[in-house]
Amino acid sequence: MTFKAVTDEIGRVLLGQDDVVHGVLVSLFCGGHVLLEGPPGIGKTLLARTLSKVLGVAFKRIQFTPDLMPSDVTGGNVFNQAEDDFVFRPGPVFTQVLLGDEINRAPAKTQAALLEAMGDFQVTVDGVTRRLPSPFFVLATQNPIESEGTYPLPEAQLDRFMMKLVIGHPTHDTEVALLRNYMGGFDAAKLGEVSLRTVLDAEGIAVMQEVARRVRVDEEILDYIAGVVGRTRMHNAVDLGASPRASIALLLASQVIAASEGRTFVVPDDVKRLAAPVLRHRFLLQPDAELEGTRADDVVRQVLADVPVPGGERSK
Amino acid sequence: MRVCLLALLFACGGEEPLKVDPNDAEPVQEVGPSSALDDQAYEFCHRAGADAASAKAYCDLLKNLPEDRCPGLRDTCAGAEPLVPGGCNLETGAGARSSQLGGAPVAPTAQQKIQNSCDMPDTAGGGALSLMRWVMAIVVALLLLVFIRFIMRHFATKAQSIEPDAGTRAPTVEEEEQLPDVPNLPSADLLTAARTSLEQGDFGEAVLLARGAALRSLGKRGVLRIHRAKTDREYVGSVRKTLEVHTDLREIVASVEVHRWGGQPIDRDLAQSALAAAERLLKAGLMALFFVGIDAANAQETRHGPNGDAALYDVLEDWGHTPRWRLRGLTSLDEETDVLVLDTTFISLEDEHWEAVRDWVEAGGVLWLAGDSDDVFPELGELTQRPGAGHTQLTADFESSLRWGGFAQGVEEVWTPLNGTVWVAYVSDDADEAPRAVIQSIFVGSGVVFATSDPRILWNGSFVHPDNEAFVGDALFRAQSTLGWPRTSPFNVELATSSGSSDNTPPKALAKSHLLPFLIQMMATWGLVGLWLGRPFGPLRDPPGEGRLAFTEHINALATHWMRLGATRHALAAYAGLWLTKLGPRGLRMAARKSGMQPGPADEFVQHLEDVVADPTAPDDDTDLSRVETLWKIISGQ
Repeated sequence: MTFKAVTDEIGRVLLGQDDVVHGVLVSLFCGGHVLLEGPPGIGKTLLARTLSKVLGVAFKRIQFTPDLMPSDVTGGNVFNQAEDDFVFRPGPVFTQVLLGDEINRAPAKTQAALLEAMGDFQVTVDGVTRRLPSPFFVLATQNPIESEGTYPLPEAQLDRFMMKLVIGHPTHDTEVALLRNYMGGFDAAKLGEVSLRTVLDAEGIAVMQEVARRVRVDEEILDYIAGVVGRTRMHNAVDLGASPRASIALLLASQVIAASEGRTFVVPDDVKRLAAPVLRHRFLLQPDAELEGTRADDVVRQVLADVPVPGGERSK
Repeated sequence: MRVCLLALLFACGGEEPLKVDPNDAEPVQEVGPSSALDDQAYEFCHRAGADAASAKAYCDLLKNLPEDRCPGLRDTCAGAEPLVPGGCNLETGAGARSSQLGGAPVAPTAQQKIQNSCDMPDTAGGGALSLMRWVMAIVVALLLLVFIRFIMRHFATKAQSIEPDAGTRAPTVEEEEQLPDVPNLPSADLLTAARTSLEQGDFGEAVLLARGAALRSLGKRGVLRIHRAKTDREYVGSVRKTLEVHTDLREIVASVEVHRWGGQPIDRDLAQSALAAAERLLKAGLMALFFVGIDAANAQETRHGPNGDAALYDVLEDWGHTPRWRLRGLTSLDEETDVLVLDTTFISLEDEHWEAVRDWVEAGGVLWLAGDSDDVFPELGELTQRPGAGHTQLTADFESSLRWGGFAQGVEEVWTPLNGTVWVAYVSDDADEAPRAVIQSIFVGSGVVFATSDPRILWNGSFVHPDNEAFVGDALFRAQSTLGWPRTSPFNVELATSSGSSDNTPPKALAKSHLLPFLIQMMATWGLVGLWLGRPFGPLRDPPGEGRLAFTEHINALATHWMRLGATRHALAAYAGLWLTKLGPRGLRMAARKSGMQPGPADEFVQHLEDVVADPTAPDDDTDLSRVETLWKIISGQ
């Protein structure tokens, strides 16, 4: 019920992106992070801001640029003349919902500043480790079109995103509805003027995460997840398959999906439903396959069509 | 050997004929008709300078020979230079062989032929042929390379092409799979097993078996496709357009999920509900199969194969007939065709074709006609459309004649309505009356026209029902016995039932039958193989005039050679045998007379030759060589 309430509330502002919103929430309730890929101007920032408002959590944004330094992300020690000592000034990463806009415009060392934060929910500066507030959720965006002046995310960084969601242009009807909203006075830059309800808080998110962990997963489902992820390592178009972290992510996401639908158990459909967003950024395609136009989603589709769904094979 | 040779030669030139034992003499043992084709003797006698060192030892022989004999040897003895093409090694080639004159003519070995260019009769021609073969080899290799690359790229692309999602892609026969989690039993048996489990209190097992029965039944009917990578919910989603099936299957799947993935116990009510849903699905399947038919029956209506008449072909074959597609035009129907199946909805015939078909029928052919044919066979009557009913109807004048008498059991048993569609037309306006087939069988001349108003009978939509399939066999078999068709069973049935057959021109018919690419490919392959083997550039079967003359010279030289060896009888026998075989005694007599010989001497001459051929091992005779010469003159027309 809470899941649907959050979705509906965000849907009031962000039109026609239900799947993306759903994926973002699943990642949030899994404790994961999301990489949003899509062209500019389709509401990526709006989604992050709306999400933080609906969830009632702190929100910060980092605009990644080529001259951005790691300390601009994590924060650093500055000298306080009054106290004659170095004082830690936290960076924007110390928040609950962090929007990393155009993350691939920053060089690798700056991107790597997020590794510890995303993986361990902590930041270490000058040998001092500081915990990040909970929940900590990174929503990074990247533009898939531009390549000049961008730095592709390293595999280690990509693997720390639980999902990679592809956000596309709205349909015609959705766009008309969007225009109608603007005619009615809606302005994305003035989100505070929109009467969005806060339907969940940080504690509520923690409860949701705990509930999702308790969803039953049959042994055959585990076997199926391992089979799907393992098959990506054997696919002839894949150079480097998905890591075990992908299996864990798929498991957690399936549990959240089941919980969001009010089920106490995971069914194979949950795994299939989320396989693409969870796996698409976690394996490397072979260069010749990429040249031939094979996409990661195509590989995932082939894998899902190839791995037998657990049908309760019986011994008799 | 050389001493022996000289002895033989001198004996040959002496007063007494050489007595040669054909069983012991080496030349006689080894010479034969095939060795007459060797060119050793020819070179010795006709090629100036051939083995000059040895040949000069035989110059004395020329004194006893006519001046036109052995011009080459005469030149050799006169000290002429070798006339053989430059570059050849006479010592190792023909010259070396001529040193073996003491022995029998021996065919040069392949190695000798390769090493000695003198043996090549046409150096320029052979080179051109060799060059052409190499060119063709390269062309063929390139074509093969391109073909292999095309195949590899095609199949590699296929292999790496993106397969659509299993839940959305079109079903294929190859992908039909069995359910992995249920025993390999028919759906009805699975349902029975589910009931047994329910009675035994094993509710979880009951719902699993009910699921298997339902899915297997739906899969059999073509409502959904079983695939190993499909989930139960995907099965449910695939039948959402059929509300009853969707509801029942969803109910079953919900129970199964609770038991299988939720690990929760199933109560009796839930299990009973699932079983009831499965029973409904199976019952609906039976209904669909025999009466109303839902998606499964719709799927069965789908025509398969080339325009659906492949089913008719199979049925005819199953009934013991010999069907074949009519690929030629219909103007050339003959006695080899017993029955012609003609679908006028696909075949548009010109007047000349109709006339030819009618002529063929009147001559005793049996025509199975589907569709409209009033113009050509007005005896069949006229078909009109019954308003509002969508069925064809015959005029009252012909109604009484339409009752097909061949089926004593009644037509309605044969024409079971399928999927709510009656595959035949109604005769009566009375809706309560059982449907009857609009079938007409009439005699036309000595033949029979068996007409069906609805051409769909020729499609496999009519054959999905066993009774309809039986109709095809009965239509031919019973008609023979009932009406006395003048045909013997099995029939040679030709099907002109699709646009792919019976075209006016063979190329069109081939193209429409999708055979043209195959034909072109086959002919191209033949052409390439022929070019590779050098057929277009190979030697002609009949050598030109020069070659024939050279061959005659060759034989003559060989005979001269044998003459020197003293094997005159054998030489005469071989030479005479050659021409007796080619011309026969009668032809040889005519040739002798034509050359100026009187009938009596000609007959005597030929008779003598026949005697020699009949006994080639007889002792030599003084007249042998003169007869060889005479025969040579007769043959060469001198």
